[in-house]
Amino acid sequence: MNIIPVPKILNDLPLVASRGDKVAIDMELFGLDQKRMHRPAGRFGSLACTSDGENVYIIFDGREVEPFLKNIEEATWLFHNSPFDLGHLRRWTTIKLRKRLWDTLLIEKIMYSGWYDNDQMGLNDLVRRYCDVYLEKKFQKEFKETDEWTQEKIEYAAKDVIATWRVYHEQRKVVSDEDLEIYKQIDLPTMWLTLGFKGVKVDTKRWIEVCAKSADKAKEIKDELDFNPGSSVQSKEALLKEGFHVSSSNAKVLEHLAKKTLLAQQIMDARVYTKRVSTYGEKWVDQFVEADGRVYSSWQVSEAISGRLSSRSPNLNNIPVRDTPEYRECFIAGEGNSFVIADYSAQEPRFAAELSGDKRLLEIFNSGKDIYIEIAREMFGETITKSDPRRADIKEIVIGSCNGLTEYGLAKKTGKTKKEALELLERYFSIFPGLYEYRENVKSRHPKYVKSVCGRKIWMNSYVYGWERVGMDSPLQSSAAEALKLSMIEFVEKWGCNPIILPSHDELMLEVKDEEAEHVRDILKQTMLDVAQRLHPSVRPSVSIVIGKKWSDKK
Amino acid sequence: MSTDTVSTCPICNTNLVQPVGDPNSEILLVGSHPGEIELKELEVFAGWTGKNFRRELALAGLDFYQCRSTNLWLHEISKNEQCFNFGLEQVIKEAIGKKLILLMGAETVSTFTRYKVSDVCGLWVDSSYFSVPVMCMFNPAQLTHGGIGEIRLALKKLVLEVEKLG
Repeated sequence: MNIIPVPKILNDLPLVASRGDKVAIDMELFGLDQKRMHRPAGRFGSLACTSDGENVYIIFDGREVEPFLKNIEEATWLFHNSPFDLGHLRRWTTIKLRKRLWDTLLIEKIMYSGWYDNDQMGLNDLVRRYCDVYLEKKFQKEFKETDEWTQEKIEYAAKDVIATWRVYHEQRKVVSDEDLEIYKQIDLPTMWLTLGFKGVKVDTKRWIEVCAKSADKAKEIKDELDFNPGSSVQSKEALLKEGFHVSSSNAKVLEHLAKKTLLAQQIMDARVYTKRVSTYGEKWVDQFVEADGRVYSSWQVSEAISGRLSSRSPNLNNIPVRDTPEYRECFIAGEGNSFVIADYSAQEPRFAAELSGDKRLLEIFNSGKDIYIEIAREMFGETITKSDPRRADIKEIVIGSCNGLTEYGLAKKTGKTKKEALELLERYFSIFPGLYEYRENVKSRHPKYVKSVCGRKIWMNSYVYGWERVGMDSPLQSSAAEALKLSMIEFVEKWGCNPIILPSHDELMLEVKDEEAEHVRDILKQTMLDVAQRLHPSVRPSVSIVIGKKWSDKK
Repeated sequence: MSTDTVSTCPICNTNLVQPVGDPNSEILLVGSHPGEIELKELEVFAGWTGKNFRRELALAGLDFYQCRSTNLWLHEISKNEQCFNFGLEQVIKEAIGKKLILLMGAETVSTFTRYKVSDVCGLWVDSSYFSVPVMCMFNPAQLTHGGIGEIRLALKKLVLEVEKLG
């Protein structure tokens, strides 16, 4: 089996590099919290680089970071997972935004999203696939446990940088111009933006109150029941007493039963609130709210298959909205600041109209009227009001049909029977034949991959159940994700600094000084509209935007 | 001796899932354990995963039946270590004289090598059990719930070596 031989290791600053040189860089830190590796914690371990894949320059003193990077300033920097290295290196020196940067992880995700799984994108995976090399990672753990350097650890650090250098040269051979454009125009600038995200301030007192309320609700329901709703065995027994024999008490079964017995709903509610307390309880505050009262998430530029931005440790995209909207009230603007919160309305359906070219759907979107009322008019042959429950059903269909909605899913969301849900879906697609045809085309073409409007590939695997829906929906989701990324990039270019604190699905939240809020609102709205109009030129874009003091101010 | 002469487990007396393919083939494919259909039909790779795997193998340019195929577990997985060892011995016997061996799945790879399958998928690895290096690959069941790339790449690398055999 191939391994990387021990390179020549020089305990010195690297030689001065020229423009055109490619220098792989990697840093090691001691004592990092493995779950929060993006936070400015841990002690400087080493910084290593190679420009020839044979000689590795390495330093062990954080004070040398600045001259080290200065010597290679002119070169193209090669990293694997650059946000980690750059985020930490900025603790020892100033690093300005640069375009001469190649991130093997970001490039790999652009090239092979869906082809390889996300957990197969480590440096060891890439060097294995591209170079047939086994890269030992067992020393990684030792950096957490002890600050002492051993020869083996030095060699590990040196080999990592060699691996990055080798992977770069292999990727360079296979990357397409289109993939590179996505990297240069979208994902690399987005990566720099995420490095600049300020954290979000949290009203911890209010958070704990909300958490106590969830705990009270859980207790209230549990007190009404004479068994433990968290126990599957006891829940099944209780349901049996009510005349419902079930083999499982999982959420799917309970949702089905909830239409027939209140008990099922109570079990579900108790579990939801108990989970709320365990996931978003005081522990969440202790773990994630930092000394400045803010929460700093780790942002992944293209973690999802669609290339959508995602958030980890903590995941801010998962903060409860529907059943406990109070949690969003706890995210507040700092003293003298306001939030500007904007989101694209029905962005994925707009891309569906653009890509399918369905005439009627385009007309509805471009009419400027309420699209759900207009679609209802087509489907039911009558004009409904905003408060008509059918409008909510239509909204579920329009949004859901871009996100893998089946008749089962629609039935669950709307409380209809599967038959009724199927009829609704069929009626929806029958009035938009272009949309139906577009979706059927994806199935019949059996494509190796589908693409977003910007050309991002999402590889298909037809062995996976439901791959057709992934094929139909991914271009819409991926295009919507690109619209949001481009909006961030273009807004920051116009505004001159980065006040973004939270991108969440189709929503952007900025924190700015009170007196700047209205100006920012106008620029942001226009930027988002311009980007969307460019990406879906046949469809009129729509952006809703508010100024507020809390995240929940955006309804 | 090849396992097709043994119809029941000498330890627990359960019916054995039989290896398939040419016993004289130079290529041995080793899966992890039989699924429901394999247990019913008593033949390795007879189920859905096997069907998908055979298709992928053909796409890579190799006919499944030109190879010899067996499993580490020759009946349903149990806690009986002796049954496990029996399966292991059968694989070792099957491997005699083989020039190329493909190990599939986490347990198979970690049993015959010192590595985790996720670290060595698509690599030729030395094994103290065999006289030739082995190609490691994820369980073909992954075809139905993940990216297809790792399995395609491993099979491509396997077939490159098959072509060298002539």
